[in-house]
Amino acid sequence: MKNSLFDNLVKNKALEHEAPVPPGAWANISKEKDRKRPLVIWWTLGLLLVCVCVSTSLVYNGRMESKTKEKQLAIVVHPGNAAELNKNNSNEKSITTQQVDDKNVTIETGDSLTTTLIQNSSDVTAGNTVDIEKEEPVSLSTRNSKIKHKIPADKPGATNAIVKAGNTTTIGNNRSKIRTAAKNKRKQNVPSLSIPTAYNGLEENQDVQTISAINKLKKKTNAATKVKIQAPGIEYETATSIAGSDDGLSDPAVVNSDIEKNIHAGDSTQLVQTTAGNKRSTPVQPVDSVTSILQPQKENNRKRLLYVDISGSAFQPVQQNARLLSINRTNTGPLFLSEYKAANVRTALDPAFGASVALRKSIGKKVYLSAGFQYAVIKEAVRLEGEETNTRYSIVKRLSPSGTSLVDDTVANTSTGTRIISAVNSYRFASIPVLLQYELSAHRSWSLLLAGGFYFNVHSSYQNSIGGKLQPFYAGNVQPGRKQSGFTVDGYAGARLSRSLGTKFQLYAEPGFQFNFMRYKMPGMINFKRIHRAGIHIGFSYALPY
Amino acid sequence: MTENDLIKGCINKGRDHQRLLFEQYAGKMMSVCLRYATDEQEAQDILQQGFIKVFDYIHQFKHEGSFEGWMRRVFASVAIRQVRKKKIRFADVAAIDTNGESEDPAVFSKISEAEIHRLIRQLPDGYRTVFNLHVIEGYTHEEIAVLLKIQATTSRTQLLKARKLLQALISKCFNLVVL
Repeated sequence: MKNSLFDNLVKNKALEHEAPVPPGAWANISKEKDRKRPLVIWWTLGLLLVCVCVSTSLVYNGRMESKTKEKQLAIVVHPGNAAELNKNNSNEKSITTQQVDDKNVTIETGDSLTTTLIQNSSDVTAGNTVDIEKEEPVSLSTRNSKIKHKIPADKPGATNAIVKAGNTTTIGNNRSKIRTAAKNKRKQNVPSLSIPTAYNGLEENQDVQTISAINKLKKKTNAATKVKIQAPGIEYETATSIAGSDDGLSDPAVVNSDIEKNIHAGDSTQLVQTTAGNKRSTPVQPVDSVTSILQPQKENNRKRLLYVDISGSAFQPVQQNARLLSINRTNTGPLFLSEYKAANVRTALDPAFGASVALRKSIGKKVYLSAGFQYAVIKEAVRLEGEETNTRYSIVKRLSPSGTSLVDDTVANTSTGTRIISAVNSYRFASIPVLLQYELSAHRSWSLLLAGGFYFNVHSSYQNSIGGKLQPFYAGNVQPGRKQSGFTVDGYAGARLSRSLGTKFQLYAEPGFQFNFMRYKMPGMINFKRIHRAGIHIGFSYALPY
Repeated sequence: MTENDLIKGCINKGRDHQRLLFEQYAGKMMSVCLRYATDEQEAQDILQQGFIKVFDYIHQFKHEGSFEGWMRRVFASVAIRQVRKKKIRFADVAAIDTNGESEDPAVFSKISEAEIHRLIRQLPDGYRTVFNLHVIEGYTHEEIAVLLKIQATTSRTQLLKARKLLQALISKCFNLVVL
């Protein structure tokens, strides 16, 4: 017979065959399908929790930024120049302060306080309106905000301190693109500024066109940097108090404040003309200086070196069972013997939780070493199905063979049937995680770290709720361990996304996978296995004063 | 209820439809599982995983070809995954001596499906897996080589030997029946 014919005949026969389906198969499938739903629910809940945490931190951060922005927009008008400024508003008294927030401009004059709704505006006419148009670099790494303010012309108090050189000027960078914090060496267009006094060849109140960092900002040492100030045809270098972050670099108020400080301190060495150019001959009308009451927050940017991490973990254990042939159970009692042999053994691990605390220390520019303690409990659903034989012995009296007396005799009653045992057992792990973390990227308040290392499970115990003496039989030479608590090692890899909350706290979420290298073989276990864990750690870090 | 209704019900995660589908195909799929598995326990595992996979991916069935054929492919893939975990040894097995061989196709009509099934299950793991994949599921040797991570030539050799051994087993079985 040809091979193809033989194959076809065998194929047809094989395809027509139907094997008997074991009882309970559908129940198992149905149960497994039901088990999958909670798994999805757990992951969804975990994801939701992460979203809530992220949203909360974003909202929190938004509020902080709003406060900062309000501070940055506060400007001071020197009273001495008020008369000149208010030349078209002779009725006005000298302006002392002016504050701007998102919706209102508050102008405090000598004896009155005026609050005006801010509207859109284009140009400013000296003496009538003020247009403070500002593309505010509140945070380089977060967003640019554009705020347009206008005080209607019919508000006399709107006469502004920063009107100069004709009748228009603006505070803020009108069209500049804000670059990211890491690009400090790049020049950034910054707002036009007025240098308050003539200095080393720079004319009084000459417009400053650009400010750019000379050196990369040193976050770790928090050292102040120098900046280059460019006026038309002239370049200057000056020291600043900007440190640790470049936010202030594009903040004209901060830089200008530093310049003023240098001038007031009489330190002429810090402002050095570096490039002689064609000076602009047209004098700028003396108006006012813009100073800031904002000081850079150095504390935020200082890198902490020792942290304590406290987290909770939700994970789904994944099991790799040894090949179990059967499991026997024997129960004995007075005149009673029960022998049970389960050939159908199923175990399933439920979603589980853990908690951990660890110390994390910086051991390099971007590397951290972490060690701590973790406690986790994993529940295991067990289902055994097998034959049970119960034997009860009873003592009866019967006639002796001679028929003259009664003697004791033993009667055994044996019953056999199928028994299904369902139980929930548990594993408990006490582990010491030793991990290395590498800072993959860091922004102003967000950072992403890759984590890897080992979990040393120094104490792993198994609690079996099934009574009787259990004896599993495995394919191959698999023997149970001798100790009730086993030592195993897990490998771990994960990625941590953390968010700074203030100066000392960080909130983080760390999805990761824990791979079990060694099989758990504690006595009493239903099925020896390796347990891997896929899950997420959510917690917070606290920077210790170190 | 037609097959299409059953499939639609399963796509909508209807538990009753899933149960009906299971009852309709469980016997044939169990047969597939037993042909790949070494014992009944393993076959039950494959059956369970296979049906869960079918329910999860039934929306991907495009009504091209028979639904039973699609299910068989799903079960075969689950079974292969299970088989690969065991690291089968594709070793040679000594041929069985038979008193007489019959090459008459009429012999097959006298052998039941269950008997053929039982004889296939008697083949060694390596032979049986390759035979199932090539002859019954219709995979090419190249596909089998990729699936089982073996050489295509190994697959061909295993198939030849499996066929020879199965023919020998059938002949022996037939002779016993005659006797």
